[in-house]
Amino acid sequence: MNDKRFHRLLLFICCLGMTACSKQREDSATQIRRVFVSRVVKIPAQFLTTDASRAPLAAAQNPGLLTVTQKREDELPQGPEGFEVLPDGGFAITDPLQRRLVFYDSLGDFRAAWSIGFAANSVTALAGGEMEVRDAKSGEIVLFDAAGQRLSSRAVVRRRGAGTEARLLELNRGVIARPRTRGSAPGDLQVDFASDSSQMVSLQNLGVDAGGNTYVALEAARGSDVIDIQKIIRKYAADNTLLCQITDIPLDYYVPPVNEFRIRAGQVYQLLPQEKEVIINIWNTNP
Amino acid sequence: MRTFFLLCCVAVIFTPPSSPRQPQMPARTRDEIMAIAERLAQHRWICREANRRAPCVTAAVYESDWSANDTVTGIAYDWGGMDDPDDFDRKLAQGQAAGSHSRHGITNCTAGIDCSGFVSYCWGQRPTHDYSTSTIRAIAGRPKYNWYTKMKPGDALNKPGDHIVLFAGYRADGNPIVYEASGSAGRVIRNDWSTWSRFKNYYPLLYKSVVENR
Repeated sequence: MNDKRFHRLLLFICCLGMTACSKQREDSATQIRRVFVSRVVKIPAQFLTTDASRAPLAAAQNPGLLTVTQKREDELPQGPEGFEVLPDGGFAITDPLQRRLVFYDSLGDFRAAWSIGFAANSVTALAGGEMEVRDAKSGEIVLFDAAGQRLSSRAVVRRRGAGTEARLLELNRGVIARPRTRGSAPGDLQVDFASDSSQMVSLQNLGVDAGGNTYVALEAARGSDVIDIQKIIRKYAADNTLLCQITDIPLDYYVPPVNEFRIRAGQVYQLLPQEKEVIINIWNTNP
Repeated sequence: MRTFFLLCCVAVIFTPPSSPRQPQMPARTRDEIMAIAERLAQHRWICREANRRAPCVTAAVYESDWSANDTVTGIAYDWGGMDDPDDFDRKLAQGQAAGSHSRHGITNCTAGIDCSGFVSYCWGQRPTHDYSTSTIRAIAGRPKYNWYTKMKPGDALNKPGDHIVLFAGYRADGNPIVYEASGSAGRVIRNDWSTWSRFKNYYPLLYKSVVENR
């Protein structure tokens, strides 16, 4: 065999080897159990009418309608940005344009509304039915009791160190600092991301459930003329085993949410405000 | 006379057309840009009863974002506006309304700043609001670096027709920290809770006259 033929053969073998390696890498990535959206709740929304005579009428006729503004040049639409999943599976959603907090059952049927008197962009349920609601305009946190009575308010400390629980160490590698409580393994949870077509650009700790499982949201970017992001949520066991991941997360937000995800009883909830409805996507990560 | 007429014709033919207006791009260091952003986000003001009314808004009902005697931090969001802190305070003292939204239309009785006005102002564009998110490319280029690791404070993230924010840095978790004139917050804020997905389909911009810090 002359030199030229030998080199060609060598090149061919190398190519075969690289293809096999690449396939093996993809296969190991696809072995992770994927969880697909299991339920979708849709709550209708209406455009804010600037005709004062019609707005209260529409709200009175259907108090379960949420409100969004129409998209115009150089101003993002406004509307529901915050939500919470309640212990019974129902939802609390902020309705800032009507200065309300609106409650729905687990199917999205209207239950009640609190007129809170300010535009809220975040809501968190506390023990005993109390609700912590953030005023979008002032940034203040306002506490309400289970009956909707205002208890107190406090200024939010500027979160200069926000996101410090999760650290991106280098490309495609990050770490989540986990508390020793709640049954999780002590110490850091290392998060690695392997892909031939994208890079991990951020990670967030979404929370730890009662079983010590940690939910991590990571964002992967693809090479593009514009920012092109895919969001992935992973569930890790207390012993750091990767249990499953969610990859079919839509990001076409009409109103960008402040409370993007909530975790409750092994289920991941996403707030996806659209032009004509507010969608809540639900993934059940339980085995 | 004929010669004079011919000379005039020749002069008209060969006079170059008036050149399009060249954008003014004063040099700004990144530290200067961020100091201005912080100043606008930290500007404290009180909303008086008079600042809750906008009589010039006739096409829609004007409902103020603020209550009387609210103490607010951050210059009010005002669609089409580009007021610096001094102008903003002066207009409030004159009884103009604090802020407006796109649904209120173009106004001349409201004070504040919008998203493109905010970024333009931080980049030294004043006193007129010449650039929208669709035209701000006239004073900013598109950088070639890795946007997720190499952006610098004072760059911007823009989506023409939608919104523009000023990049301030990366959080430890890799997500961006930005300053923005936010319609939903009703004012200029420092936003350190957003994730990259909020900026899907945006692209980074680099102010053409930015001066690297020494």
